[in-house]
Amino acid sequence: MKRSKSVNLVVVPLLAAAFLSGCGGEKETAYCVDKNNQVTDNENCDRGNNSSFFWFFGAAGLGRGSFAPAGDRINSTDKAALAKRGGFGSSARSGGIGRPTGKTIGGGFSGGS
Amino acid sequence: MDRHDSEPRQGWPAIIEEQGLIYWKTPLPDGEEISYWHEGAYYSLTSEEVYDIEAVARLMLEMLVEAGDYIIEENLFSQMGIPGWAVPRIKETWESEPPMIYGRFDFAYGHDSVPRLLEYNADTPTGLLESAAVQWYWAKDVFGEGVDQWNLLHEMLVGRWRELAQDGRLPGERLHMLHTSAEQSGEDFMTIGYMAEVARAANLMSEIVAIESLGYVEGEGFVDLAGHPVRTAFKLYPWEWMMREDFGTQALEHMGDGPGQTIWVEPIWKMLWSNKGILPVLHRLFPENPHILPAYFDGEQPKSLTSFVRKPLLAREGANATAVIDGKVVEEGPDQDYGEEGFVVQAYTDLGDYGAGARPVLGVWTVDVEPAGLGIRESDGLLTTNTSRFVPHVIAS
Repeated sequence: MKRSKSVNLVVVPLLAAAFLSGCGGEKETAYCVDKNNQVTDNENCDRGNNSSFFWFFGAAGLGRGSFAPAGDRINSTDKAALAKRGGFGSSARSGGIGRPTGKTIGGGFSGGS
Repeated sequence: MDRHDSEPRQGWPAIIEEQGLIYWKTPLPDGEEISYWHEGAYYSLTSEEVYDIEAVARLMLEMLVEAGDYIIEENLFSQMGIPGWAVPRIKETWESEPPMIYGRFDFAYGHDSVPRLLEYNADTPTGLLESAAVQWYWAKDVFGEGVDQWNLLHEMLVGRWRELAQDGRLPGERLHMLHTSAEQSGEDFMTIGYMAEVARAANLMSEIVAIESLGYVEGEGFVDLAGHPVRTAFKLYPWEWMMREDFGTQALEHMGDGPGQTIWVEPIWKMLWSNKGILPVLHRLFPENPHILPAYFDGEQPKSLTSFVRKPLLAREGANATAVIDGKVVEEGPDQDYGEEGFVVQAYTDLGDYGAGARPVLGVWTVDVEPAGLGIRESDGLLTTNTSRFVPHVIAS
């Protein structure tokens, strides 16, 4: 016999149902904004040495030059409060403005067992 | 090996989705959808055929070790499109052998029943859940408990995680299972979910994390969203992408089992085996081996080679591949901008028409360095691409 004796799926059906029901929610994107909340290139924040740039967290869809609505923003030099994120994943999609944080807005799963 | 028609199970879409195969609908450019899972047919192999293919896979693994040594000795990295800054870690891990889990050979298996290597997906192989679980349940449902299938994948994956844990080779309190949230069909997510399942069965705790959300703290290394250190990460994300992204340098600098470091599974040396440049290297080392097709780095092929498949060094699912027969282009894979690093040219081999124009490729799974099971995908064309179908199999009794 070359077949597994048992294949017990416990986590997989739950994850499948979660994915299908779209409970991943809206993906949050981190934008680099200047002090007027105007969206700029990520690299201004990535340098982490210019206190006039901030990370703003919101829904995807903002373009360069557009204004982010009022909301949470973190000074891009505040390393203790903000691990640098978004350093992996760029090859899997196109575009260079904003980057998914992996966090979701409004619920979501971060699975596991 | 034979292909048979079969009556699909009543309500099969709900069954396979429950088992995690939620990505069975493949959208076509014209807006139509085709099913990636196809239980309107199945393949049957004899035990002798299975033992034969298994022996070839074992032999391949031995030859791959020689090929890896050869690449390092001959310094073929730049010819394979591997960036120089990755080379020291590749060499180091090739020697120190950090944990590895799995891989998948793709073999052509034409009507002469000689397996011929098409490629080895050593870094981020998919098709795992449908091979290990979905076709296992299909066989049981359709043929009953006594049915046999070449499929020890689930048991061997559980065993492999357990063994690594018992040997103390998985640092950290939990495993971090990384997928990309850019992949929308659920295939990457469920492959990672299935890996979390087998780890759970090995009594390991894991956290499923989008690789996009991985954080890096200066002096502390990689962290997850909650700030927990990422000490052992299983990633379904190719090294050649990681290398060129913003965190590539950090991944290289903080690689290892110490505090502030991360053990990456699969290890970075798998860039040697998953790269299509391994094909000309194998041919150079074992030119007479019947299971290895003549292959060359593009530009080095003899003029007499007029029927071949040209493949990018780094690509998946037939992307940017071209099939040429008697000097004429007969088929092109989907354009996904691969090929920047270069191409290899591999002699054309007939996949065989097993009925209704179906051309199968045998995906032979390996766990650590042991053959573990079979997953067959078939296509109507000459290239196996993202529009090919997964078809279950049994061992004929």
